[in-house]
Amino acid sequence: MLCVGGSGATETIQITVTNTVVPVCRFFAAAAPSISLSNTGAPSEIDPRLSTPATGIVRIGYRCTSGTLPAFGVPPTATLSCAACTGNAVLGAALTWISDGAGRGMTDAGNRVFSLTAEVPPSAYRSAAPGDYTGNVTVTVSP
Amino acid sequence: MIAPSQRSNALRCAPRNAMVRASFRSLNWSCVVLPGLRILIASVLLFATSALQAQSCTFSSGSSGIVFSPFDPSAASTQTAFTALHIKCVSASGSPTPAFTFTGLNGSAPLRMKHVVQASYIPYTMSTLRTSISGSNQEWRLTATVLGADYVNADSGPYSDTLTVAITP
Repeated sequence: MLCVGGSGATETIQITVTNTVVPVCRFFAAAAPSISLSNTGAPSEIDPRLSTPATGIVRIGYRCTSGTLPAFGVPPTATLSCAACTGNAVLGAALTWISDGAGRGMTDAGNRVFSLTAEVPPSAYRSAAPGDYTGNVTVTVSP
Repeated sequence: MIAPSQRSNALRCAPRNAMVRASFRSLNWSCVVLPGLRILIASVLLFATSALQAQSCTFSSGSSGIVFSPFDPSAASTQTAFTALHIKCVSASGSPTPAFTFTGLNGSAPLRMKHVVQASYIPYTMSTLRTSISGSNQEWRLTATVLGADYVNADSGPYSDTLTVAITP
């Protein structure tokens, strides 16, 4: 009796429910990241008498949608200049980077690290005027 | 012994593949009782039919589907999407309110959308709201809801589910 009533009284319809989770990546940096270049071990110190490159590295957190491979936009070089210097007041730094790869989601557990390294060769800093050099570089991540 | 009238019933009611003669007696017994049962079942059917005629709901239009706007996990928040359904409900005392039940192809507790490739799922819930009523015609809004926490770590790509909506009566 229940079967008879049920089959006659119930109507059904099918509906498709769809969505798309977009691939997206974002940097997560609490403050503006900076790179301190050195060839002595002391922060931001370059000794022109040495023959080792001056290097520095910064690590920046990023997150991506799970499974999404980030694409980083990094210029090959950065220019540092000294506003208070006279003479040769420009240094060229080569930029290289590595990353942890594909995303694992947008929560803390999905944190990944992008590492950017700058390097100034001895040939560049030997002839540079003494002083404080700074420069800015824009790094992007997509999608 | 089987009376002629009983034998007639038995032959008419016996299954086509009834090959074992030994079971013929029990079949014969069933068929003697069957006419009475038929009357009883017919009564029940008539009763049920009259009840259905008194109160019923049918879909009078299909749905184009429920399509969410794209989910951005970097700004995950509650997402909703809806569709409209037109239902015709009749009863002796006006237009009854149908009861909805939802069954999903990828599970019903909870309902889930499945990634088109990966074995990953995004759960969702359904709610209903009657938006208009005119005579026996009713329009209902079916809303699907996904919580931000349920897709913040989801794999990128398309997801879908086939949702069966049932209304009673």
